[in-house]
Amino acid sequence: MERAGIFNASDYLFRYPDVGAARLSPVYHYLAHGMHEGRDGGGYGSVAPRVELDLDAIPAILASGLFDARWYAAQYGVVGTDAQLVEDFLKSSAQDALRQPGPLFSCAFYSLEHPDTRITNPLVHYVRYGMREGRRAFQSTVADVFMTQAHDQPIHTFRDFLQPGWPVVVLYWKDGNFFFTDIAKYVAETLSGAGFEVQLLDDHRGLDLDRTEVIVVAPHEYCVHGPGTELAPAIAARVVHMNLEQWHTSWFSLSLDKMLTSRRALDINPLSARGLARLGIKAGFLPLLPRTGGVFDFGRQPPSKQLTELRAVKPLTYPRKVLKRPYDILFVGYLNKRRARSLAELGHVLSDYDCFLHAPRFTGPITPDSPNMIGSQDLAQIAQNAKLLLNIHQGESHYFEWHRLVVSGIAQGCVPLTEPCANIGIVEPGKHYIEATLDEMPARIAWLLGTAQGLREIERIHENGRKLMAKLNKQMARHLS
Amino acid sequence: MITQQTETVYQSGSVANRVSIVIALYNYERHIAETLDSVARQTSRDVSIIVVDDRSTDNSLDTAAAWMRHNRHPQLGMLLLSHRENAGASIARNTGIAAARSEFCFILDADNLLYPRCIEKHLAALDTRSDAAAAYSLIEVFEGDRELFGAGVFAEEGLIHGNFIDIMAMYRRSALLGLNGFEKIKYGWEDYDLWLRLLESNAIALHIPEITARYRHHHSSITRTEQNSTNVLDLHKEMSRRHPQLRLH
Repeated sequence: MERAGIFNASDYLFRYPDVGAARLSPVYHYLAHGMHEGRDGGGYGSVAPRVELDLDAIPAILASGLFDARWYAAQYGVVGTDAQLVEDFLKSSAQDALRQPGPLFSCAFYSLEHPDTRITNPLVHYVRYGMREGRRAFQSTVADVFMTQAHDQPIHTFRDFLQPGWPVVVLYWKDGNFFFTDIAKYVAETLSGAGFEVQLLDDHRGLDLDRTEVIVVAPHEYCVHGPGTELAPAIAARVVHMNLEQWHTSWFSLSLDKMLTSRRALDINPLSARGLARLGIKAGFLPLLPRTGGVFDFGRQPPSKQLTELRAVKPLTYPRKVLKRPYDILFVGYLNKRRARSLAELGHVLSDYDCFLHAPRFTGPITPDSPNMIGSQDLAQIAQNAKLLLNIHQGESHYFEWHRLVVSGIAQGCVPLTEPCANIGIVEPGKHYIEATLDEMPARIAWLLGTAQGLREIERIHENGRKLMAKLNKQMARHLS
Repeated sequence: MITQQTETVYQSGSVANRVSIVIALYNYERHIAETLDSVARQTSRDVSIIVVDDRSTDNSLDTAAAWMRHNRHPQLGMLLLSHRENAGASIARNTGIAAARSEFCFILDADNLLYPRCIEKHLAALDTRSDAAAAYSLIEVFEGDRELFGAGVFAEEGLIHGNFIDIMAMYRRSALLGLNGFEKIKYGWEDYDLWLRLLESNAIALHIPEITARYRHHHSSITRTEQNSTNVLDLHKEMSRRHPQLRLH
């Protein structure tokens, strides 16, 4: 059939991933099922529209930062202006599904994730529609490498974005994730501490934003679901967006769409900020730190009824010495398959110790008053009474979750024990936190908690963490003054 | 509470210890000794074991009796009862609960395992909370897909969509007696029914955020018997009839 030009097996497998997944021969599938189902066998009988060459998309592709001309030229041995290289990419990728526009975006991955887009070049689809539709575009491991390689990119601080003397409006979506609201409060209190006149608002409409700096926290919420859909183009072009999402998520795509419009962004993760800079966005890092009296300064508070009513909670004693803390291990993270499997595999060692494993399953939107929810304030109380903070990544990404590891861990004197993380430089493995792969984790836990040497290691890292927090707070104070 | 007439096959020590571990046994000769070993290794010594054999057709009863004779210990109360007729796991559990004289009952299936600090941690939880009728922990699923059960607090928002709490938990015996124990429901889900009845009576079951026990996943786990897709539909109907607030899907 292939010789006769009436069937194209590779085309068929590419177009219908369910056939490959079912491990069926493509020609068998076509004859037995596909033909009756009206599927396209390719060849001259093909009814599917061919991928059309869309040269009008070249400026949008170049603006996205996802086409890396130098990388592309070196990878495929072609020369030309940037626009010529994009044209070459568009023509070549129509024949070669594996051709990539740069080190981050993979056409093959995008096509597999979004089979409905296959009549369009994947990158064209993403920059024209997919990004603002919130389609996942990046593999987590590839994004990790992309960010880590961006070490030569400059990282700014918030001062580099704000006109001295201009007031600042910090915007967030009032119906959004309440953790993002906390971050909006933090941004406002930090800028206010730095001497800016700051307003924290959930709606900008009706305000005169002329000669005012605008910061949107979580643009994938405020500008997609909230009043930010009505931002005037002139404002949208200069907003500083605060990105809070990991790159492999659909939310990141929504956020990226907004960040590419203004090309000004802050991130709570320094590596992510570098990655954004590599995409041509002026990006800065704003570390979340417990400022005295601020939203992340949890201090000591009696545990709330929400924490204790339906849970067995040990008496919280706040001992001075880390090794006297009543909990050996704290885990905090919503439960997905990967985490459930990992915790089950650690069961035999965790069961020997005193643990607080907060691992709820969330099937719907999370509200702060859900009995399954534990607020940051309560978690900090447990963390101040736990020796180790166990961290299991939600997926394959090694993203360094600053909020979890630093704010909920190190700042509370609780030593993070985590799967390997992308090294962000400021907080170092072996010095401020302990790394172990899931395979190594049981033996590492037993060593840390069950041997004199291991307990000394906990004390050492705990002490380093204390010094780190003092240093970061000092740096921040200097920065604010 | 529906129970069955029994014969006492073996008895030693006292059944008046603070915790009775109630094990309904039916055709688990392969697993019962390992399960009992896990009970004997508990750090908490204030424990009695009550095994109710539900007319096993394999060697379960003899295996349990031999284990008890061999592991006899003055502190560990042991009681092995045999149903006169096969009655199902729920009734066997009720028989065990009725025979207990303890403050607490821990319900254990004959193929599952406890980690050594399981009872200690459950007792610590319930000792500090006289207002709680029961306590359950996270449970590790082993053999087959590794999973966690019990990941959530005892609240309607989770339980109306399906059961996520295994029966392997510690209950005040008074609470179980107050509810008339387990009901017999065709195809199972008596554990879910019990949790819902507890919830409806405004009782509290404390969530212990620790892994303390292991659930053996295999095709004949005691609470999963005969739950094929048709039966599950019937179960949904039956459970929704008993508990109209449910939103099963």
